[in-house]
Amino acid sequence: MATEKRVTRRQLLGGAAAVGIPYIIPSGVLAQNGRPGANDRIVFGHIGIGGMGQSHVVADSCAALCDVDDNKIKSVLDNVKKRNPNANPTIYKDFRQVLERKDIDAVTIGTPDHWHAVMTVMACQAGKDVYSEKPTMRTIEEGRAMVNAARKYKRVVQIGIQGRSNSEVHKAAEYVRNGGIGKVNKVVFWHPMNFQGQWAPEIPVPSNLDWEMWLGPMRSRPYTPDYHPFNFRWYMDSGGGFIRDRGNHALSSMNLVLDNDNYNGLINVEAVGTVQTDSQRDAPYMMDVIWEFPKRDITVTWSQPGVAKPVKAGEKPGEWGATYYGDRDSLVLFGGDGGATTEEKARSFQVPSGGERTHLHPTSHNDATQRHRENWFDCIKTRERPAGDVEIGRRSCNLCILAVIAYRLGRKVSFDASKDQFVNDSEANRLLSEPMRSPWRI
Amino acid sequence: MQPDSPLDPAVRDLLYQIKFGTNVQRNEAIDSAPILGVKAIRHLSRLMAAWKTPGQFRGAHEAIKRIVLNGYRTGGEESAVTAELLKLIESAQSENLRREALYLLGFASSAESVPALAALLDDQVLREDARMALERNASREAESALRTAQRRSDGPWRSALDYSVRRRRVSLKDVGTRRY
Repeated sequence: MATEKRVTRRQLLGGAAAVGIPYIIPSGVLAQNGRPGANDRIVFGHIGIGGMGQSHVVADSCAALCDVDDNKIKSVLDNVKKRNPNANPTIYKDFRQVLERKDIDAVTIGTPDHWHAVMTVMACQAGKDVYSEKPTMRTIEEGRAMVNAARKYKRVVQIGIQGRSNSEVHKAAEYVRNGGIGKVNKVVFWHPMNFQGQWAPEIPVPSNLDWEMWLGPMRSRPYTPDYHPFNFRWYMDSGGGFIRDRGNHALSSMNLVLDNDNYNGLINVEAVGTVQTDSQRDAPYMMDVIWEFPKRDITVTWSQPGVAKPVKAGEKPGEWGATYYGDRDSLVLFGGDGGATTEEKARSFQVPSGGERTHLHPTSHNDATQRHRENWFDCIKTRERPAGDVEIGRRSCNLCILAVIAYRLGRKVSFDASKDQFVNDSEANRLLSEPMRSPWRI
Repeated sequence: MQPDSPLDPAVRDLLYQIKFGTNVQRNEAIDSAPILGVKAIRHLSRLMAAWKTPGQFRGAHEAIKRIVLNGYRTGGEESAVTAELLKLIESAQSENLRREALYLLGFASSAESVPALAALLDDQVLREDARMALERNASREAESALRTAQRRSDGPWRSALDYSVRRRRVSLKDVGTRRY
């Protein structure tokens, strides 16, 4: 095993830099079982370092880089070394070896979606705190497993739903929650279509890729170059399309705006979609969804593509977003991930005395993605639940998964959020989970 | 082998749309496939096996998925759908097609598919897919088949079967809290 570089608090505070964005590391950590000591550094292992995964790499405190693609390892390692010539992370293809290391305190998971639950559960069991990318999970059962593991093993598990750390989303939330648009009855999302692709022939697996490990718990299939990198997102088993990807951002932000994280009533869902038939990508590239929350008398729609609305007359609307309709007025919120913009009336809104405030993690700057990471770092210190706690991620991702299930069944489904079960619907309940290829399990 | 009965005009139209239609027309055909039901599966699977354009393969594949999920919902067609999928597993040349049929069989609620799936637990190539299909099948016969295979297995394969059996007892409340 290579010697990992353990940086001091002073070094971290003074000069830590992630690949891309500088990091501010927790100001102190108290030594107790399962958490770093006061003068220790948080040592990270980074699993899945393509896409957003590479943006989480902490160059000055990275003990392990793990990916199934040698090319990705090489490019990220080069980048880490540029930022910190003394960095000497150990390279792995099998994440289980990262989890075995006692010196690693926390892991980031930036793999394709079908790995999120298995890795998060195993990381919690191994005593690591976790930052896992969105979408939280692929199935209702996987989400429950992640939350159960986080709670049982007392781990801090943050999901990469940065809208929960975005000041614009919080502004919108405070405006709506304090009656800015009256009683909300409808939310209308718009989003561009999924990316379309060409038919990808089956070819031998390239030597830089461990395809079996890439597949992991997913059903076996031949390799085509359209899965990796990035395009796994357009396949049902590994991605589910934008509805499950950006959908997790969008619906997590909606739950914040509407104070809907703990909704425990029935949810009725209908969805229709259109698939691309000249490519293997089987997630519908166009999709329309209706969620009804009868207990709150709110209807939410997702149109892909949909009609975008500007935050100000004459301005160009954002690529994706939502309009919140109340009985007195409406409010537009673009985005809902690291980037978001809302209308001036919400931005300038001051919460009245006694009014409802949301908690936005304090930070020295206004980058939501960075704030979200810092929130995780600080929660590793305080052991508090982070802004994008796995339960919040799970609840919002459930809505995305319900849409996919309604689409697959081609009919309306009714889901009891208090039990995480469909109501009198054995066929839909068979889709709550997905059998996994061995040896992977949750 | 029994000769096919004359092709139903509606199935012929479905096949035509999938073979020669635009993406929009194919999607319309896919959406309408469940109305035709099980009688279309055999023809669609032949099209999947001998596709000339990607659209033919994908269109037929999507249509079969819709028919199967719908057939397993209504119950009335469950036996017939299972029989068609079992034929497909037996006859298909392509490993992928057989895997796909196994995946879809997992959505059956009855035990009719269990003997065929149990037999495939000894197939070195398809046994994982068969195990996963049995794991999803809620019947007692499916559990019994998994247990029988478990008794005569060892090593990682036994462990995989063991997990499939134990998973049936794990509730949502407890999932993720056990080390296997």
